[in-house]
Amino acid sequence: MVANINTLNRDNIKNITREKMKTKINVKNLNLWYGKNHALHGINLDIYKNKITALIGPSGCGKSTFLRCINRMNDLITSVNIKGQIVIDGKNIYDKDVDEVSVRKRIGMVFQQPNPFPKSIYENVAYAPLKHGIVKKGIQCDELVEQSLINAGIWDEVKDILKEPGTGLSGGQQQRLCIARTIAVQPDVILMDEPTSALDPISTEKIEALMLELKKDFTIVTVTHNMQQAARIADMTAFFHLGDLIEYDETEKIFINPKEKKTEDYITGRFG
Amino acid sequence: MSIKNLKMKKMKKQNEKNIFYDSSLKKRHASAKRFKIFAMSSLVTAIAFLVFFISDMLIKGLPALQQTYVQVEITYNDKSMKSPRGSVDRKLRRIVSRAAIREIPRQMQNNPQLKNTTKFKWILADDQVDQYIKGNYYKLKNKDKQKVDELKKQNRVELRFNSIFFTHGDSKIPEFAGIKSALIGSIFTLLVTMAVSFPIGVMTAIYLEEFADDNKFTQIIEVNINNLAAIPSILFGLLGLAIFINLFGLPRSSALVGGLTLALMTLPIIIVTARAALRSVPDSIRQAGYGLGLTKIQVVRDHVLPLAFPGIMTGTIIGLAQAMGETAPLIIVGMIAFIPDSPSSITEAATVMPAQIFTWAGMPERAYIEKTAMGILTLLTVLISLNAIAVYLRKRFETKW
Amino acid sequence: MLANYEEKLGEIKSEIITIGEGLLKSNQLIVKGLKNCDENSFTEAKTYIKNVSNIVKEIDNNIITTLALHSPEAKDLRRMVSYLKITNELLRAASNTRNFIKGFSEECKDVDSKIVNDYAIPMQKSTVDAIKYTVDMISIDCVDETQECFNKVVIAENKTDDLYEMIESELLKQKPKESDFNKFHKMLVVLRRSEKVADRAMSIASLLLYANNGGEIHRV
Repeated sequence: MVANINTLNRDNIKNITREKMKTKINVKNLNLWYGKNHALHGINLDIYKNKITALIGPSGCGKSTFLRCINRMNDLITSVNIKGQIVIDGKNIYDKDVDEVSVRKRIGMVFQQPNPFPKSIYENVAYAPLKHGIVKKGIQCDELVEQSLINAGIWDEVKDILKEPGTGLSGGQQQRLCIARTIAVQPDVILMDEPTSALDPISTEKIEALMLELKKDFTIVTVTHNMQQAARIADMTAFFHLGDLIEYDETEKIFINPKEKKTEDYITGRFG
Repeated sequence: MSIKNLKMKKMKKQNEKNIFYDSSLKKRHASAKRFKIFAMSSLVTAIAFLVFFISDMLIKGLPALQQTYVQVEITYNDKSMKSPRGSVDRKLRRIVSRAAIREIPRQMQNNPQLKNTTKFKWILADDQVDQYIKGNYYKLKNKDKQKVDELKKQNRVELRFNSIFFTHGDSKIPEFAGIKSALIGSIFTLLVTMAVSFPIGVMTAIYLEEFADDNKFTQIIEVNINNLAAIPSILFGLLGLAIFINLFGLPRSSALVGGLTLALMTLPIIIVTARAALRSVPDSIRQAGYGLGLTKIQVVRDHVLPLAFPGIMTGTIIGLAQAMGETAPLIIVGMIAFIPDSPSSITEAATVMPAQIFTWAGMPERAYIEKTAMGILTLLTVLISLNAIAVYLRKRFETKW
Repeated sequence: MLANYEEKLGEIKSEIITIGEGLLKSNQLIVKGLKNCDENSFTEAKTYIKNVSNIVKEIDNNIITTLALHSPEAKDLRRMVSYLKITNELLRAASNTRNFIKGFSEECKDVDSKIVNDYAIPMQKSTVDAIKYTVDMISIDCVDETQECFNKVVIAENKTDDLYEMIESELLKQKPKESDFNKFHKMLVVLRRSEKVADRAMSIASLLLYANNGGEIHRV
């Protein structure tokens, strides 16, 4: 169906202006030290709701460290010292009266290596919601497990083998199981630390398609060392280098018209 | 000579054409073969020692499974009640076991019908007769020896399965000595050890591995625990003597004290193996747990422990098997005493199997030699079955993961 | 294939088709206008090619974005590159059409109606055919069909060329007086625009042939 040349409505073109996007996470002047090593230097960043934000940069630039600050996973490491604020829905998660466990209930995480629990597929997905009291054991729990597995795009493959151990699946399936487990807790934000770097290209594509679906319900922040992945799926891209945030903009702008020379050098492969 | 030269020339030509030929390989293969032979001979030597030991024990110990019984005439009357020795013919008195004779008045009391009767009964023979029948060195007077031969011709001497060994405790009468009280004592001691060392050891390991900060203090603790595992066990005996018996005033020689002493000894081993098992759980499981918003307790209890459990079990059982074979600390604590009756609670005086074996090894009578060997075999059987349980448990839990 | 990539490809294709169909409609109206020699058809024809440069800008930006973000390969890459070149051709074809309309509406009354009926209209009809088959080609995927369509475009374009030559010789046969020479010259120039549109259509068709069937981008 092709419109008449004069009736093509310019407003229908999807040029989302930044003012129309809602901010979900507001990072203010975040600094992090590993012992004496100053790993993150004053990061300021806004992450938008229901968008995929990709963090790219060379190895050791601090993108994974930054990601783990958002759900306070770095608090588990004793030598880490954090200053600055991360404000989510109006509350700074580093305030004294915020329990890090409750932060992690609202901000889920998927890791680089698929790490399902050595339990059955059903228990993998059901364990955390039951413990948090989101559902009760029985039909409610069964429904949540089924819905989570459907949303993770793995239901058809595992619906007959729910009692089998989760570790018996292939790599791509295990990663989707981990995603199902994460979304079963019904978080607002999903953090993904290089979720496809350990997978083959077909599984990678499946998970990228899944991420595009998931962003309708969740806000997604992903670290990737594969810039093409960021180009394919991210709405916003942030480029990190040696602990600094060099550039943060819409993905199109970063990849076609980067403002900073460092960004351009990285994207064109002139430094590694 | 010329044929050899020709062959060498031919081979040299072939080698030149062969691009994969490497002249140094021959030497390397030869030295690898020598190493293999050396390793194999070490293995063979070790196995030979083992085979030698086992066969020696078997040869000495298996005869203990049989005991000599003789058929004699016993007179049950009032005179026998007062002086049981009189119930047997004088010539046969030394051939028959004193223990059997002791029994006669009681038999008469339990069975009033026996009064004023004379019966032919099979009863336990004296230990020297037993040794004679089994073909070992014996100390029988010629008269007695002749009597025994006579009885033998009359088919009134036979070897039966020695159930006494497994149903009676130690005794000054060799033929009446058994390992039962030592076995029960060992079991009680082991139960005490397990009850004390397992929970404390596993909890300590969990705390050190999961909860404690990684600073100098914990490192010092770790080094000291490792050192404790290497301390000579007899020192634990002195520790037990000083603390449990002198300070706390617990009953000497009881399974309680022995068990506590052994628990102190096993604790470092359990802590070390449990820590290793916990460490072997991949960190990704914990990260996944934390990422889902679980508390530390939930992660450790529901995810890390089940995975580490096979390793902890194996370590515990090996530690306990080691404890079962310990003698030195228990000697200090007093479990070397002569205990004929089985203990019925952990606060009664008891002895353990290794201690029993040690005692028997020091007895002058010849009959105790075979009992010592049989005791060793029993102990070995128990240890091997404990290890087999460890292997089975490990296999069973491992398939789930 | 990711959903957003597929969407993007579809969007670009439909925008190209939009311009193509506008061009087609415009030239069809020119035929009508030539037949009846009425102003209205020509005016209407103009409206169908009004916004071409804006849409072309957008298509170009979309193609750049797609190349940057999705790294197309093989057929998708050939298509993107072809489309990038096709937008130029479309722009010029639209410009040619516009100039034809402008030029003809001025000269319409003067031209010999015989020439118009016998030569100009068939030539423009051929041009319309060329454009039509070219626009059809955009939507085709199959290799054989593409080749068939391309052949049809070639035939139409050749016909246009022949007809233009015949117009030229006819006009010359009439042995114009010196004063009329300007008029005839202007006529030829205007009619040549129609032939150029057919040329453009063939360039576009050639690029589309490359996109679908592969080979070298510069043929012949």
